[in-house]
Amino acid sequence: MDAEHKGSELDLTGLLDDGLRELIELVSDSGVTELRIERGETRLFIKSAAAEAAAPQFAPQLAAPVGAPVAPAQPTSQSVLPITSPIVGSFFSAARPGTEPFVQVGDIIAPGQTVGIVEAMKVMNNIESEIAGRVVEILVQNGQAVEYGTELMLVDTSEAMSNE
Amino acid sequence: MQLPPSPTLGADDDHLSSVVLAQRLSANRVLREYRVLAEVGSTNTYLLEEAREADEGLVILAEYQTAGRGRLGRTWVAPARSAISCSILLRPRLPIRDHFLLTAACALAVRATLAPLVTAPVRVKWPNDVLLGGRKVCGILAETTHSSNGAVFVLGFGVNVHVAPNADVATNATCIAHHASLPTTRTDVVVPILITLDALLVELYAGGSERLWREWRDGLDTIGREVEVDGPTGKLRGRAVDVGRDGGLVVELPDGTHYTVYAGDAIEPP
Repeated sequence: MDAEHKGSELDLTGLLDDGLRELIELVSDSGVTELRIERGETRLFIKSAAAEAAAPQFAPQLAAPVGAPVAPAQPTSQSVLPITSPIVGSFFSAARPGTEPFVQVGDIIAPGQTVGIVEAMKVMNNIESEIAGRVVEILVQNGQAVEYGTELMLVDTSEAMSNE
Repeated sequence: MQLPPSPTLGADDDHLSSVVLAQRLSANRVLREYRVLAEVGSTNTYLLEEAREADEGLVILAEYQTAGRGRLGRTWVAPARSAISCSILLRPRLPIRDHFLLTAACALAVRATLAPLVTAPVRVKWPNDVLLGGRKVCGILAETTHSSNGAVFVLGFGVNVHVAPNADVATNATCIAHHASLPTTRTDVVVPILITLDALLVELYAGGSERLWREWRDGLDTIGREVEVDGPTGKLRGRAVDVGRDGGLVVELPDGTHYTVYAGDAIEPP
């Protein structure tokens, strides 16, 4: 089931004021397996445990992390979302060899921030995050071939929310 | 045959004019606005950072590009007014898997423009380099971002007109002047490129992806040649046998298996 609400009858501002936990409970109790909410600059995307079971690619155990180790974030599964490749090509973690990667594990990222490049036929596709949160795992190596939909990294969106 | 550079026209005399370009390109339907910058670091960067909100079809040309960029941060430098340094802002109404056809269209437009101007063969090397007499005369590099609001696609290309870059900057490069029988201005070159490219963009946007892909595939000079490409664990050598509809170059390896490459160059060993 895929539900999308844009400025629906839900009092999103009130829910966010009361905290994310209540919203997650609301989703769980309702049986909704996916919820997208957008209002102004605020975007929220949640999957329930049922959805996770049906889509195991969301489970954060796919590969060893790349980059500096950080303390485990212990994210809730509902809040960890992947950033995926929109195209087949080669993933590059930095703008050019020898320079700092766009993001590293532990970084807080914001919507619109470039997190990598996927090159295909000399088209350099800047991968911009559409979500905010902390990068908890980078799943691909620099230069690695990726397919459409390959998960590039996992982002814990709950951390960004708690920092706002 | 390689001719000496034309004695009657050089980079010092060859200015671009946005007014002239607008007049000569007034029939274009996608590429509609032209700006000539006296000097800029990179025309691609200018569009991505300073003109990102502009309408589709904005064309930026630089008299002097001081920090032209190639793949993976490689530099591309040419003396002032010696080359065409051009970037185009597009908002393609195409599936992302077809975005590579925008660079393919550019390569085809450059090839079609150069062929009648020069005495040496002009060919396209996968994915979109244009070679003149076996040496690189045009490089194309696109940079794009994707979001829920659609794609911003910056199509950048450079053509060496009066001067070939120094060997320490770009080996195996050439310029139009070394192969042209008549003096050729940058305007003489860029106008037909942008007219041809505009027509191909109109066709692409009207659903012509399949035909354009076939034209690009059929004209790729790489097919049938021995190539060296980037593999998953290092360089691979084999024979280029085809390109897929997704643009990938299919390489037949010595053991008979096929490997499809999507990034990097297909180097042709001597």
